[in-house]
This record gives sequence, C-alpha cells and structure tokens, in this order.
Amino acid sequence: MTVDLVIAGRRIRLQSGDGVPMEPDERFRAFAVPSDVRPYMFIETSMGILADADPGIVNAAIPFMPAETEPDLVVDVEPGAAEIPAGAVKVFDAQLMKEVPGGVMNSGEPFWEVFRDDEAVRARVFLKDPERRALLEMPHGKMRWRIFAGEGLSRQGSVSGGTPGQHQEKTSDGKVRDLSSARDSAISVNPLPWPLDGLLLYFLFSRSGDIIIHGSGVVAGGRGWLFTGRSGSGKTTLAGIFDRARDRVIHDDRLVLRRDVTGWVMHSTPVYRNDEPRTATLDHLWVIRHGASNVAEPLAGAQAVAMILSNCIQQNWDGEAAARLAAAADDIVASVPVSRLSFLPDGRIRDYLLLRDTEEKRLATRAMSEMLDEGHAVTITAGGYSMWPAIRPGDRVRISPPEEETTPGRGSVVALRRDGGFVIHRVTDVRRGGSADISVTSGSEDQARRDRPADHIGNDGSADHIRTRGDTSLSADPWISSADIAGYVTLVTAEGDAIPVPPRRFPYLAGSIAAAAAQIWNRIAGRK
Amino acid sequence: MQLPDYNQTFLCKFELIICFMISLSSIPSHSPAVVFRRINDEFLLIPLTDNIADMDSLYRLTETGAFIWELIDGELSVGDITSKVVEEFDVGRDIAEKDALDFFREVQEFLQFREP
Repeated sequence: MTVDLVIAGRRIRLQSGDGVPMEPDERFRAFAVPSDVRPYMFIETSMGILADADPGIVNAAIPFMPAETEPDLVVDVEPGAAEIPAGAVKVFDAQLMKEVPGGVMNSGEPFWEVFRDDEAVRARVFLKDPERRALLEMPHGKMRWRIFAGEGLSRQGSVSGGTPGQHQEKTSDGKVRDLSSARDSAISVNPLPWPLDGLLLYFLFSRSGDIIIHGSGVVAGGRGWLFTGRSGSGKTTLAGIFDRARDRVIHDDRLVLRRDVTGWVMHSTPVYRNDEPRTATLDHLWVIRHGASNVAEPLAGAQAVAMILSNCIQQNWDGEAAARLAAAADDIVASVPVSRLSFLPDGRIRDYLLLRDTEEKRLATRAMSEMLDEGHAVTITAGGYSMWPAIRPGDRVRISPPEEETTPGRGSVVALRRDGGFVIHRVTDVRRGGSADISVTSGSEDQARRDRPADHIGNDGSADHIRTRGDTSLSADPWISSADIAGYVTLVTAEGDAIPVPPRRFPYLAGSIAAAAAQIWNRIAGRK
Repeated sequence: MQLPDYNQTFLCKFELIICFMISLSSIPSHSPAVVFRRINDEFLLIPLTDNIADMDSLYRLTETGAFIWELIDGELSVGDITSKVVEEFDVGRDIAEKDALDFFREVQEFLQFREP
C-alpha cells in the first residue's frame, strides 16, 4: 500500500508491504494525495508598493506552482518493532512535557531519543495505548527511510485499539490537537504516530535547508505575516484575533518556511485534526511578546538571526544541520523585514499593524518616486499577477527613469503611479501629440470616453498619449499623457537570470480565467 | 536530493564579522553606495549599486540614528560623535557609546572607516 503526503510542497511517499494496510491519523487527511496527481500549491502573495488594482485580478492566490510527482522522500513502513543497534550513540533525547495551568512541565518520562552510528540516524519514540516503541531509520545521505511502527504484538492479538478521539487534546481555544495513535481497525498500521511525524518532518526539512518554526502565520491586508515567540508569548491569541477579523490563518502552531523562486514562503503542517495545506508568502516576520502597548521596532543583523533561531525547531547535536539552519535564518533576515512586536491582546493590534504597513508602503513609494525623479534607476521585487507570466511575483524588475521627450513604443512596459503605489503595465496604444486621429469610436459612452484621451488629461493636444493594460487584465487603463510615466521597466531578474521584459504570451482572457480560479479558490479556502 | 552547501557561505559571513572591528577612534565617512533621504519625518538609507537604487533593501533610521548619520563627515571619530550624542540626548556616556557602536556595526555596509 502506498500513501503520498504532500506537506509544505514536499512529497513523502509511505509504502508498506502486501497485506499491510496503513491508516495515518486524521490530521494528515487533507495532506494525502494520489501518487500520480500533481497538486497545485496556492500561494498567497502580496504586492508591496507595486500595487495591482485591476478589477478582474485577485492578487491573493493563483494556482501556478505544481508540486512534484516524484517523491522527495520514500519511507518503507514496517509494522513490527526494531532495536537500536549496539554501538549507536545517543545524541539527543526529550522527555514528555505536560501542559499544566500556566505553562508546561517536564514529566520525567522518556518521549523520544535520537541515535547515530556509521550507517544511519535513528529516532525512537515512546508511545502509549498500547505501550510500544516506534523507530525511524534514516541512512546517511539517502532519501529512502524506514519506519518500524512497533505494532508487531498488537497486530496479532487482542488489541484494544482505543476509541477514536480518546487521545486528542483540546487546546485552550477549543481546537483539537490530534495526538491520537488510536485506530479504527486493529490490523492497519499507523505509519506516523505522534510525535514520530514531527521528527520525520524535522529531519526531512532540516536536510533540505528549510526551517520549521513555532509561530502563527496569517494573511491580512494582502500581506503574509508570521508571528513567532516563545511559549505563552501570544501566538495563538494573535491568530485568533486575525481569524475573528476574517483574515486567513495559515497555521497557528507550527509552520515550515521554505525559500522558493518568489522568496520565503510559509506553509502549514498537520497538527490539528482539521488542518489542511495552506501557503502564503512571508512578507514580515514579527518576534512577539505581550506588552503594555502596541510597539514595533525593526530588528537587524545578528540579533534578528538569533531571535529567529531561538524559535526554530532544532536539535543541536548535528553541526551541519545547525549551519544550514543558521544560513537559512541569515537569508530570511536579509530578504524579509524582521521586527520585535510588543502587543496588547485585543483587536487593536490588527489595525496597528495594517496602518503601519500602509505607512511603510507610502514611505517606500515616496522614496521610489524621489529616486526616479532624480534620475536613478531602481530595482524592486514585483508583486501581483497582472503581467503574469512575463513578470511574476517575486521577480526583481529594474525601472529606469523616463528620458526627456520620448514616448514609449507599443509593447514596452512602464511603471505608473496609481493607488498610492505603482503599477507596471504594458503600453498598448500610442497617439502622437497634435495628431488629428483622436476620434470617438463606436461603442458605449463609457468606451468612447476611454478612447478619447483629451477628456481625461485635459485639452492639451500637444503631448503624446499612451494607453496601458496588464497582460492579464480584462480591460485597458485610461489614456494618460506620456509625461505621467514614472519609469520604464528595462530588466526582469527571475531565478538569477536578468532579461528584457518578455512580450505578452497569452490572450488576455487566459489571465482572466486564472484570476477567476484564484477567486473561487479564495471563496472556498478563505474560511475554515 | 541535492543539498546546497550552506557551510561555506555561513563561514564567510562569520569571518567578515570577526575581522571587522570598529573602535572609538575609527573615523567613519558615508559610502557612495548609499543615499540618505528624509521623507515625512522618517529617515531612510537607500542602497545604490552601480547607481541603481535597491528599493527592497531600504533601511529606516531612528531619530538618534539620523542624528549620528548627519554628523558623519569623514573628520569626526566614533568617539567624537558619541560625545555629541551625549550632549544632544541627555544620556550617560556608557549607554551612548554602546548605542553608537551598535549603530555603526548595524549600518557598516553603508560606511567606510579609516583609522587616524
């Protein structure tokens, strides 16, 4: 039997022998995919100061990143038990922590251990009901691992499988944390009992240079925010505040951070019974703590790296893993704003952050305007999908200041000031100043108005006029004077290659269909 | 699966931090690879590479940071600047020194230092 799980975009293939059915816990249900299907990851991305106000386009999500069909990891699941070989060295262990009022307490009971020898790293977990030991074996340098579920005895005999739901734990906000190792059927194997799944994810993502972090990820006002902090700092409280405001919560406990072509992205992981794959770009990372007021201050350099690291899931026995983690945290600090945030646990924190974000956008917009006006070219990361796929979210674009007395040709891509930021659109029509060819064409009155530049920009017939449109926009922008162009997009850098802006590739309608798909997706998935 | 070799980049960065020491006698001057802008009562450093402004790496200065930035003239040392911070902001010398050194370390990529 084969079960494929796609978690944070990585495909984990669990396979067991003939006649050994597997039944993963309920929390994995939404993460399981047929092995021949390429699921699409819906990445919510934000726009930054490159706004994108086309009516037909939703900037929140678009299905454009298929996960691989080839598994990143294959795990052979054996129902029986296995022992740690003699000679293996214990490098790490953890004891069971119990939640008590006001915090957690070490129970002193063994919970899990990690051993290492010349062949492999092995993680052993101590499970209850029935009491057993499961083992995860990870041979060095191989992405084919083995799980020994430790259920050998229970499979043969009289097993009280436990009633489903018996081992679930309600958290303070009423969510059901899925800790179950209970099974409906005594003969199916639970391949990933808690906490073995967490260890497997840790080792998998750690080897790939990704980060697993304790935190709450939300998307508010089109921005992906991650709140991290030590236990009790208010991560769940914050997620609750955003959830009640109908923002999208990616996850409120444990997330995977991965770098992809669009930058750092946060993914949900299976913790609660009703968890599902959710993904958003990481636009700001906040290190949180309760405070007497809402105050944010930027963090930079080594301090920011250290604060991120202290909230990552990590095992300090593996020097290479620690170096990869530190490099990843370093890269986050270099590419994502990181701030310390003290907050009051009421709804005002959301308004505070949204306002702050708006102000930062306004500031950056002013700065970009000034630089262009002074004749500097600028580079900036693009957001939104109106020029997709010529310019994709996460691509870096170079915008050069407009040259005096020149009018762009059709097909060139320009930056225009709009909606308190900039939009990047393609020039579709050019009318030379003084031309008599400014006539009202047939069509609706609205259409006529759009087609007659003079109505929009005054009766100054001497200037050149242009009309622009996003490559995926349903309608064209109004006519403007070519003097209103803020700059020209001269270069696009995607995945390290700098190229001139490619021409429009798809009909406008194709972009609209993609936008519609995004809208539908939002409606289905936007609410829990 | 191909694993990237992060070790190397990580070590390079570390060496840089260790090799680069700023003392009170160091004399800072502005790097040509940055412009300073005051916008809406906010102070921004905008990095320039080949005269192209990098809008993804704007650096926002605090009021103290902006005060220090404007004092940097290629003549005053870190110690001189600290004295002016003490006068202006009514703080103890110890705190001002620590803050000033922290500031210079944080924005060192936008500065050039020479020893007298």
